Amino acid sequence: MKKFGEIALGVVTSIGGFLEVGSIATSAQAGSEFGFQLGWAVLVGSVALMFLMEMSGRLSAVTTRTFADQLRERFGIRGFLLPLVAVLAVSFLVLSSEIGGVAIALQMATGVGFRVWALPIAFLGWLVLWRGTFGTVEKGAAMLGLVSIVFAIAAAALHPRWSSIAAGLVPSAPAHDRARYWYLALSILGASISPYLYFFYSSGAVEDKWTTEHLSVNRVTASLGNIFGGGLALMGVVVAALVFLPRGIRVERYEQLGMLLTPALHHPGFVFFLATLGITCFGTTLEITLSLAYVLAQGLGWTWSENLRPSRDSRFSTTYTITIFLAAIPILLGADVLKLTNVSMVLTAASLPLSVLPLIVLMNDREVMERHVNGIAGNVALVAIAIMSVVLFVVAVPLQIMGGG
Amino acid sequence: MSSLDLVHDVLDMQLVDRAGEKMGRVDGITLELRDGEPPRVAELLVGGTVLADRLGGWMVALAQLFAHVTGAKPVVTRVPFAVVQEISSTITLDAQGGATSALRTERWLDRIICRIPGSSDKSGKEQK
Repeated sequence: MKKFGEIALGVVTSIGGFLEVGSIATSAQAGSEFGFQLGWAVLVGSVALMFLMEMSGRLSAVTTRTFADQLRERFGIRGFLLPLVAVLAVSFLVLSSEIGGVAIALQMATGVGFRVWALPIAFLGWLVLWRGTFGTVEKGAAMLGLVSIVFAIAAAALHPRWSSIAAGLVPSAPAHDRARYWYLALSILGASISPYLYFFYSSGAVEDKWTTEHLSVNRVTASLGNIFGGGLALMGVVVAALVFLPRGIRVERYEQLGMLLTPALHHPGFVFFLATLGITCFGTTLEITLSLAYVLAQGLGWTWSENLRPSRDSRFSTTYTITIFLAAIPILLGADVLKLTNVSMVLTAASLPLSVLPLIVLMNDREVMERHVNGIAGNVALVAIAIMSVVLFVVAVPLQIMGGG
Repeated sequence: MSSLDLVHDVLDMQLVDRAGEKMGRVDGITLELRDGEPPRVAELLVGGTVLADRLGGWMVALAQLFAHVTGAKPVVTRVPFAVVQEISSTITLDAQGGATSALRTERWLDRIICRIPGSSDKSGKEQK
């Protein structure tokens, strides 16, 4: 149990990266339109997130301070403001989508329209943050999120040709709808690698009081978490490819996803799909809400901790309270959750350079990292991720226009 | 003689009071100009308008608009440099944060937060 507690941070962070409204939707879209061919995008996303999580965790374990804290200190207010605004704006949209994901799951379960659920979900999320500790969020979301293993069970039950899945892990050019193909690749990357994830992970390392003694835990957590999360997201692509593609179903509304697991698992498949969607989106709702409050509080030097009573860090607790209710408003007003999801994943991908580029500087600064600076392998990976993030930034808007429909 | 790089070691650093309470960050620094003698560091500034001034142009306009709309009077806390006790990864002041205007917003929100049930009673959370 203690071991699980230690890796829970990685599991919950990677569930946030791979099994929430964004990844479930984009994986299903990818599978239904291009079969296993976009598997590589999930693989690239997992490997990139693995490196980014390991580095932000290492940064926090070595310095006992968070990434946002170091960004402000190292780059001043001028260097901090742009990442701050980008992360807050993009994560806010993703947060709305996650609340929408829980609401859609509840709509499919009860038949009561999703708009009705927006405020109750926000209230319940707020209550968990208000009363719970960081451990409640971390371990609760990680444990309940294990329900998403149902994606792997469903994939296995459909007896896919594993060699074809492996072939999809190598990038290849599409035979049709090129703009749509690259748009979905971009969306998958945006859905897997979100800046709030490594701000959350780095804050979590400080909440859990990590020191250099946790460096090996950090490595294990970042790798296992991403193998787990990325593996399940890949199974999402596989199931959609075997269920939707042969039937010619193109995912245009969330409600269609309800039958994703039924051919493999019958009625329990429907129930488990709703449980996975609802639980993982709710966990991610908590994670993003906390992240937004963490980044703001740390950047401006306020007292912050999910382990303090709300009255001990009023500005922090006020921030998450306002954030979660504001994010429920678009859903309350009946926003199209699938469109909102797709747009926020693309904007997320576009915002990546702002948080990845400063990480290169920090991870190579001996004054900050002492002897734990990046090695050659780490730097090669980080520079590759940075180049990829700049490419994503450049192509995001044109692809949204050409392939978004 | 040991030296202190004001921009690298002081500006944008976390400020904490003697009890360890976080008081914001060093948003600005003022120098005192003296006749016939070199200038010396006078105060550390904390406040949103100080940040806005550093960012210039449109941020200043935005801050003025915010003050105009909300009617809030901008608070700038001036900490005499002599109060600085230690400069390391944070800057520790030999002062009580609550006695300065740096925590005015925090204390004002405390009163609202305390009215919401569950804000200060024992759950799993720590007092401090």
